[in-house]
Amino acid sequence: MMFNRVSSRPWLGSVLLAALLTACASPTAVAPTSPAQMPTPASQEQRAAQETAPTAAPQFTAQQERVLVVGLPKTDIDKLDPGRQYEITPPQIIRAAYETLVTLPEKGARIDRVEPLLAESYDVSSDALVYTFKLREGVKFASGNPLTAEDVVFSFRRLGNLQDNPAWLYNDHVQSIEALDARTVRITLKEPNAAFLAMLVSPNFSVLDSKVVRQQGGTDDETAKETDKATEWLNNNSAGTGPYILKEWKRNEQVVLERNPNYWREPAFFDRIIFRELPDDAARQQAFERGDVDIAVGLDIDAIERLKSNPDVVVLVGNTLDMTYLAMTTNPEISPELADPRVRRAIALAIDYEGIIEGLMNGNALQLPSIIPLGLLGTDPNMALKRDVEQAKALLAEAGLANGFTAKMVYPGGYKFNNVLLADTLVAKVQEDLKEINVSLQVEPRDEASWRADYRAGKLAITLADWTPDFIDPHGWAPAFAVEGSSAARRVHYKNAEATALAQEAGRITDPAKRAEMYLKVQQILMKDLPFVGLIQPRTQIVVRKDLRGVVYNPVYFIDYYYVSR
Amino acid sequence: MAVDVLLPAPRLSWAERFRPALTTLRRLLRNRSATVGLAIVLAWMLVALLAPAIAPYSPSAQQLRMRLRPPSEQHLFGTDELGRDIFSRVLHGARISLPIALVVVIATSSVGILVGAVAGYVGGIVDEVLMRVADAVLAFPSLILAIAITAALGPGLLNAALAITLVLWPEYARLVRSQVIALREMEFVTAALAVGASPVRALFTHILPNALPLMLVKVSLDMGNAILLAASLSFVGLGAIPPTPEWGAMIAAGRHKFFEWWLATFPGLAVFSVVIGFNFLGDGLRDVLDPRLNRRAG
Amino acid sequence: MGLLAYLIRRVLITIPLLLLVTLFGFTLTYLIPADPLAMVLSERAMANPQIVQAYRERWGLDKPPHERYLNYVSRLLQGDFGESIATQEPVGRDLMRYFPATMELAVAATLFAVVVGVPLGVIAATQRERWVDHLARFISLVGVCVPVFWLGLLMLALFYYRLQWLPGPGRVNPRLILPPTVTGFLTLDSLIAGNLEVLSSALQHLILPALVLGAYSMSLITRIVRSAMLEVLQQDYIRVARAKGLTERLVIMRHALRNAALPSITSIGLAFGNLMAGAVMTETVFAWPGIGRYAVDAATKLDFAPIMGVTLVVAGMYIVINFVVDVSYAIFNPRVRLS
Repeated sequence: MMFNRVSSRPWLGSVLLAALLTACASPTAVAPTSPAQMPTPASQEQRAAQETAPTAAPQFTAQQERVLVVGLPKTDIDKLDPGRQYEITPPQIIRAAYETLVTLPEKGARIDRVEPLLAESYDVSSDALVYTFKLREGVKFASGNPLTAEDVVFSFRRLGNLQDNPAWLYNDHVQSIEALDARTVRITLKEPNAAFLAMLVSPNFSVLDSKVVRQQGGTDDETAKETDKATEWLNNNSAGTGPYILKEWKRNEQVVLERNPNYWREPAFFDRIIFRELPDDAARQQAFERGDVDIAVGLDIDAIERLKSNPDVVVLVGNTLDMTYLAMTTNPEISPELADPRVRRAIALAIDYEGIIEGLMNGNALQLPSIIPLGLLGTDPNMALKRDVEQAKALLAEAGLANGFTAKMVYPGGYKFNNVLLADTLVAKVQEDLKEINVSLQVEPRDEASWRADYRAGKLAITLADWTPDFIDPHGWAPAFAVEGSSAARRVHYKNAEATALAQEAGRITDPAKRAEMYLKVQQILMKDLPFVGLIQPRTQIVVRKDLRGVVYNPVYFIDYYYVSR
Repeated sequence: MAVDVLLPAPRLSWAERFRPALTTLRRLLRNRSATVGLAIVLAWMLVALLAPAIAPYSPSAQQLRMRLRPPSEQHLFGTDELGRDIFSRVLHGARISLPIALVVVIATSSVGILVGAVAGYVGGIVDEVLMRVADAVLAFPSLILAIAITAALGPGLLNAALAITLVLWPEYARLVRSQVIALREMEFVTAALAVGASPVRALFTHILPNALPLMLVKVSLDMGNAILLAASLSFVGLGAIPPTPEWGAMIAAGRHKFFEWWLATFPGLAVFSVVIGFNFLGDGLRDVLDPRLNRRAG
Repeated sequence: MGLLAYLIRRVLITIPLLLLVTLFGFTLTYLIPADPLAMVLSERAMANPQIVQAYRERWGLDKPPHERYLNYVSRLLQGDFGESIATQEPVGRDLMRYFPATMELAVAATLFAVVVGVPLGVIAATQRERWVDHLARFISLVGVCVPVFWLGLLMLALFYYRLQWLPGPGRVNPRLILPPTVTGFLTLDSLIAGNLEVLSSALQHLILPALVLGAYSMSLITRIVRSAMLEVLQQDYIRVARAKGLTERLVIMRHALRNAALPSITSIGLAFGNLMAGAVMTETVFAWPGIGRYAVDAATKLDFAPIMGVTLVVAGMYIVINFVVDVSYAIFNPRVRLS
């Protein structure tokens, strides 16, 4: 539930609650979302790469060191302490060194349910308040210490008491946590929460080696926000059960992982994984084509088009749950014209959605109908608006603005929405589209911080913005955009009592069919009022050398490197 | 040479007063590099003036089906990521980039020459303080300055020029200072002072004219720098308001698409030609204005 | 005035000035109407009062501005640059890491610029209007016009991608184990440790970015030296020297170059300073972990301590450079006294 750079990675969510309640903690429970609506998490190429993944244990040759090099764009890695980090890049690194109680099935290819990882099994009480996890036997940390329930309690309590960026994951939901015995953990929630199991997939809920972390000055006390001193160590080392160990982090340069020899499953394939930050897109592309990089992330979409003809390259396509949207104020004091819903609708009808998706994104995006990404409960791609300039003009005339008007659009200059679409390009496109209905956008680039401050304060008449998920449930979106006074709605002064009531109620009930219906209704109201116009839900494209196996994209921790081999 | 300038100036009629300027102009037109430079600069000014009439397309008209096309008969310089005609955008860009380069370069060199001359000539504590301020300005992050200027004064081209001037003047100041320090010890200056010229007069009639040629070189080379700098600040709102094309911003946009070489190359060549133009003009001016060269030529 | 006294006076003027700079920087960042926490914390965290409170307390944002500033200055006077809000790491340590990386690059670039630029400028001046002169002028015009990112990508495409003569982006082969940090200059550190493999890799990685970064300075130096030489060559005493029958070589080396030295040295000093402060593009294209990218990140996030840290260090560096420049004025030109 966040803007791009500041934080936010996807969480998987409360789609699961109903499944949980009915199937009672069966790890094979199927989510209620209809498969047709679910964006396929992986493309054909990706499936192919996956199917041919070798299952045999890797053979080690003494001479040839196995190294995987991942080329990252300018990254947001600012900490690698699982209790503190909350940016987009770190989860994939943390997930390689740490593990969680539950994880995504099929190497991360499915996002509609969870399966046990460090837990052997789990049980959810019938009121969905008490979660009991039985830990797997024989799991050792990289240090050689055995995994115990105490480690889980320590890690989760530390997450909450650090009071850092992700602390709300624990503090907002958990009432108490206790170790019943060496292998059993019981977590009691404050109130029923469908997203909780899915949140546990988050690398923030990594299980840390409490002995090692305490030795390094770590604590899970209530005073941890002042007294915990382990972050500096955890930024450069790891204390997890994962297949790799964090060996080195040089900010703005590289992160190095090494194989964990004490891993509790088959050892990982690579001796080392090097995550290199290569901030320039074209330079990163050259490094990839030259063979110095095995996986290239975040290349320019037009450059990827050209790479597709290269026989040594596989382009993996995955559906994100990110979105880029247009926001218009409903406050007549800020813009008397835009405060009229007919005008907002006219603008929404004047936008050339197809041009944005096919032209600017080379087809690598879905059209987002409203404010809940496609694939989640209660979404319908058929709701999406189509361009209709005539109707838009008619609506403007009806609103007494047949000759059009001028509106000021402040936007973050040089910023890439959802890390793919340059704001300046999208702004120019929208500006040109609106010209056709005589709406003249007076656009003004700003630095990101100032733009963010003004948007947050509700000062902007019309702007473009992006959003990335915190957890994969409509409850991560609907309240923020539809409930009066909530974080997004407040920015456009949006007030609608019916939408507010529906979005709140849908988070409290558990019947998936009922919830889906309510979320659809919320979006219908939003699409009538149109304070927000969904534009695109981008697809992510990862460029991979052809000889790599087992590269599978998921929107929670990006790639599970344990399964990657050559 | 130094002494004859010091003779009391005879009273001149208006026509006589203008004669030196006319002579200079005539000499300038006889100078080959000056005429070439002047021609290039005038041509760009003409382009800037006539851009709407001579550009084949509107600089903001988008054709998504024609995006990122290489140069062709239809689109001489190709098209950009929105299918806009780069040739038309380069022509229109002259309307923004030329004035901003001129304003910035004139403003920075004026401030720089003033500060540098005072620092170098007066010396001592004044010099020390002025130069340390210059050091601090050079070190201060221009991005923060630009954001603060946008916040305080709002976006726009004039504020962009202000920001760039604030950032660039110390370079000129240091260069002028070094020349002034070297020149103030020269025989012709000490001689002038010895025969009773006031220090201020000596500075303006003897020292600064001799420092001018170097300034001209720096100014003409900095034209390109100013255009590129303007683009680096434009994303915080200090620059041309989109969709108005601006060379620096067009070049910067090419950074994301290096393999579509035409995106950055053509606006880059435009900047290059302007720099060449002013450079030739500067060289010509230098030849014409240089007192020693005159004497030799005359 | 003695060199030492001169140095002392300079330092005495510098310290209050730098404090003034911090006040200026603090005021500017404070007046920009944006909350630095919003650039660091997620939307969820911003909506959580405990987390926001914990941050405000930790970074002293709950205190009135004058108290925050005095706090910063008093820590600064004890040699503590404070901590970054975004990374929670001490700025002093960041600077120790990023500054040498950029310095190493800037030294290499300046070396290139001087070694090529000064002789080219001298030759161009003495061979005025001949083909060498035209070539030198053309090169320098191209050098000041070509955008750094473009030159950088072109060099990479040619020498790394196509010809495969030189390594790509980065400071060193990422697979190598690096020697312990002593100076922060990878070349020196590997030399100290006697690790020739790292040394050779580091040197190879240095070539392209140094060429790209130095291109602008080289052009500027060529032109300034040429212009300054032309000035001097027309002075009477050079003509006297020539008339005395001194060889042209001697005239140029002994008389002309010495007197053209002041603006030339100034431009070299300026160029070096510029490289330190303006290496962002080169650092981005060549994935160089330098101070330029660090500064831009800090400025984008309005992260006060790193912004001021960079400013102070770069200002300090300018002051050192200009001290050297001013002292060398006196060395090259005996008529100039340190005042």
